[in-house]
Amino acid sequence: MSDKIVFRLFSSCLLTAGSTRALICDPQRGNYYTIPLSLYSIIAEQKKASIEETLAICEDQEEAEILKSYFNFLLEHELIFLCREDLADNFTPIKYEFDVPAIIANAIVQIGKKAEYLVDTLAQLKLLGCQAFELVVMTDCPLSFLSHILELCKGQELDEVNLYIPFNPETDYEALIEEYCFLSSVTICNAPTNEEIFLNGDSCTLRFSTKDLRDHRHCGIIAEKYFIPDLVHHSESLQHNTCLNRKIAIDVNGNIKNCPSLNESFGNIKDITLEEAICQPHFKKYWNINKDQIEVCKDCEFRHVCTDCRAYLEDPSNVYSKPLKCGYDPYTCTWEDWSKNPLKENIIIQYGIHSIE
Amino acid sequence: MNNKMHLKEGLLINTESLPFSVRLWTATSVQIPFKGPREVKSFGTREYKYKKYYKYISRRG
Ligand code: SF4
Ligand code: SF4
Repeated sequence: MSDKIVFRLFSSCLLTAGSTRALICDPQRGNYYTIPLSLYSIIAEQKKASIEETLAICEDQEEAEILKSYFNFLLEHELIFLCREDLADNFTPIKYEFDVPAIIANAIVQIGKKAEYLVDTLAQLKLLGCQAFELVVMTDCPLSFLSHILELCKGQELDEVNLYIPFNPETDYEALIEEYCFLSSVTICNAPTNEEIFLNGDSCTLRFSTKDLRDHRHCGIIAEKYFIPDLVHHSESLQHNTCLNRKIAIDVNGNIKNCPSLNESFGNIKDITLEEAICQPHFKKYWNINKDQIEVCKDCEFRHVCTDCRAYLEDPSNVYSKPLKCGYDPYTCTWEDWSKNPLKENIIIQYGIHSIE
Repeated sequence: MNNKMHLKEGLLINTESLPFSVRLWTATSVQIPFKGPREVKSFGTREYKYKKYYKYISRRG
């Protein structure tokens, strides 16, 4: 039996190397930390070395002190643990296979004046295993119409509904959220103020925005607040597109698409079923574009916590180009405002993003 | 060091009898003098924590 104590990365902690620095993600706590590449290689190699042995390879005392502080940090945050050398192989690595019991996992449904096809669409989505819904009411939304939509959702026993509706001063949104507990978020567009309130024991977010976020051109934002330190998301990102994989959208005219911002239509909900649309040869063409194939993203340490966008690209003629609405540069590790980048000006105009409210 | 671990029911188990030494997983972190982490940033968003579905369907801003 060996007495040597070695350090190991917890199997649940995920490492991603970028071109300039690396990321260590703790999905069970929903945290992630940027670390230097030198520390990344020490942890990633899993050499069965003790901390003392690793410190001994430092070139001078100062370097050893810095490395010590890193080890301390990793231990304090329970990202690594110590164990006897002869037991170090007993910890099974996590499997990064991705699957969910759904042909379509999430859907964006735009709703017009009468919500004519809504019941049928929701019923079809349920059959396809859809787990999360985004309903966007594109017309005026008096309380009676809103209640009608929510009753339809209730009838279909939907689980996770995210609602986008226009502001109506007469609606008591908080009461509505209390009544319909399947609501995960309600975004009130064209509201007088910008505000965010957490309701129902924080399970639902009520968000007021002065912008009309129902307009799909607002979508595709890449920002740290949207990063997802989650194991399922990480596994999905290794093989699939983190936005469009198993996604479907039905626009206000009934056109079936990959997302409301992508122009290609695969038929109309009045004429074909969602299943027929999915079976069309090009429907799944974005599903397997992962971050390792996308220019710049493939060098980014955030690529497995970040979400992708294939509708707004830095180079619209290249399906593998970086998302337009990302202001992060993984080569300098700096964020800038993407909308103020002069190199993006023409593309912003081309997509018609400059003129949205 | 006390090798006994209390379970909820008040039952005592001897950690030495487990296939590996449970104590080592948490007990040793204080051995190294703390000098403060460098170049390490911590993140985590409230909104993410309370979401049931693991990702955002769309990201509008
Ligand atoms: S592809 Fe882009 S625009 Fe479409 S839903 Fe995803 S993030 Fe939004
Ligand atoms: S470069 Fe931007 S879009 Fe690409 S992975 Fe990094 S943060 Fe995400």
